[in-house]
Amino acid sequence: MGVPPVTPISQGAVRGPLPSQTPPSPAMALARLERDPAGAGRFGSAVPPPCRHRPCALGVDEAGRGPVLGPMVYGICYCPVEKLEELEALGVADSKTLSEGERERRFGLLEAASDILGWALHVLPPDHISACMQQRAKYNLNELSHDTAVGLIQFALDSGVQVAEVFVDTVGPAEKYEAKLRQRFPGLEVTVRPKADGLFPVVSAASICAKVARDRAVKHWKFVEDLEDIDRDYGSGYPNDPKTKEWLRRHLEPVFGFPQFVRFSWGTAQELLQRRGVPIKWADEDPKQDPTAPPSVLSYFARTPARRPPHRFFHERSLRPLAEL
Amino acid sequence: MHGAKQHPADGHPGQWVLIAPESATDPPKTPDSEPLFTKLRNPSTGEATLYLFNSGAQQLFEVKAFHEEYRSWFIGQTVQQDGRLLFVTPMDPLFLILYYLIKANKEQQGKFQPLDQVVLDSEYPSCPLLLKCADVKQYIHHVAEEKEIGSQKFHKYSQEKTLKWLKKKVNQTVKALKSNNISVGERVHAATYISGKQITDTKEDYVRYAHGLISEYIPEDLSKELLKYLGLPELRSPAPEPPLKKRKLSDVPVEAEEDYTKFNSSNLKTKKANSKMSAAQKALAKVDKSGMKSISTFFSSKPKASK
Repeated sequence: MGVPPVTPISQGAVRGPLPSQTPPSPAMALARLERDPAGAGRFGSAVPPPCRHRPCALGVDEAGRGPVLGPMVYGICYCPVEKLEELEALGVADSKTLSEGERERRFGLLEAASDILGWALHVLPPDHISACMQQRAKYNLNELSHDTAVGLIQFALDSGVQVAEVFVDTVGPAEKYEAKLRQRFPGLEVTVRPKADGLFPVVSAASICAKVARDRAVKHWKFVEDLEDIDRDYGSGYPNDPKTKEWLRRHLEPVFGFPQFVRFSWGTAQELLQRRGVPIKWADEDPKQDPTAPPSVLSYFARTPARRPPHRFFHERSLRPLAEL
Repeated sequence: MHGAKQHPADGHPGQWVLIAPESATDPPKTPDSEPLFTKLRNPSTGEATLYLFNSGAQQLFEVKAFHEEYRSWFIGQTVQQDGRLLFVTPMDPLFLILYYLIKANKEQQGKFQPLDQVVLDSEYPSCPLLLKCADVKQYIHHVAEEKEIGSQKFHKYSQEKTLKWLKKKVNQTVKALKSNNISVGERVHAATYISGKQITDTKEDYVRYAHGLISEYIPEDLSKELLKYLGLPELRSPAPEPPLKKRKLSDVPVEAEEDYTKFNSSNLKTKKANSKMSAAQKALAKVDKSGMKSISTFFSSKPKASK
């Protein structure tokens, strides 16, 4: 990197030289979240050139796992292993310990370090989360989280990042998750730890990216429903927040339930739907009777219906005559 | 099209969705000849069933509902809990008239009668409308003998003519089944299963299926007569199933095509005895059993006083 040094950024952090061509900054890329928070999907920064030929460390973290409202965002950050100290010097820390303003500031620092630090994000919209968890073949939040993380690591590999070590903040039991990732990426050194965002700077960086992205997505959320002037005074979005609960109660439509912004699969949402919504039955729930259970003894003594059964043509097509309209 | 009817309180559907041919919904030619949904006696079951006469009762239609659990409609800006789809399809009124001809024939011991005295039913006041349908007068001779005295016509049920007519219906149905590619055999086709036998539905499969379909429109006794007339052996009906079990109905009992019993020959036993023992069994066999009692001795009826 024989590039002449450039003026250090305003915050005065210790930094390496900037390459002459700066890749698009995260802030610019996050503008995408402001345009279409729900459809953002997976996207990332340009890969900093050093990351293409130096072994890299990669951190994975998520934001918005618990709330009943809004998307869940997965983030990865990566940088060459020998630059980890520089990253630490930026003062990245567990995003949960930081105020929103402080997170934005640290994010600015990460943004400015784009010559060594790359990132990628995956935004999982709330309706996608609801659909995954409530579809016929249940797909729980842990599996969804694991698969999203795997997808992002693969995304980095496919983009040409020389990933050598992976650090992950755990979801569920760390050992199982670690074994799963090791099996999926046999060439990589995988470390899964609870609270990894406080232990490894590269995970802290990922955590800040994810959290900032989640905040932007929520702030700029566009409701697909035709709801005039929906109020956004929903508090933290966590199920135990009384403000959030009150907002959910106010925005419950008896037939349709909630706007897509709400994760229907959350217990809080389901409980409200059950109490206040129109009862809805699906083919795959609440079977009236276990079909494999032996028939009641009484059924053998019931008078057999004198009528012949309908011809299979009608039976197979679920067609029946009507007695009245 | 969908019609609207208000039954707010009693849980009846407020709206229904139906598919009907245009001729069923033609606007009335005179103010008092509107299309009419009405209950008539189902010729097969004898139960009240819904039918539709179009404007001026020129044509009869049967009403069938596609009805499965867990279905609802979104209609415009409303939700309809009842997810049925009604089909209004043309029907030959002779089937319904036939029911009364047979009944009158039994009651009047084969007297010739004017049709309007036959097709009468105190429970179903719109029943005489059947005779107003176009072509009924022209085609009644397919199922009844006719006598003309003066200007008045008298009719009497003829089983012979009816069976001949029904056979034609069966043949027409077979044609329709073939052109609509309807699987009539007892086998269920699975795309992934390759059978050693070529699966082709035989002519008998088609005729039997068509007979079953036609039987949905005629009394049970006549259905049996028709089966004989078509030269099909009657099948023993399977034992009545407890009503809780759902099961695909078939006209034909399913029989095993291959005989597996030949593999159960006696030499299977000897083979098994010769077969190799597992490591554990071998180890067990090597154990010194001297001084050990057979387990059966512990269960013998008279306990031996051993000294």
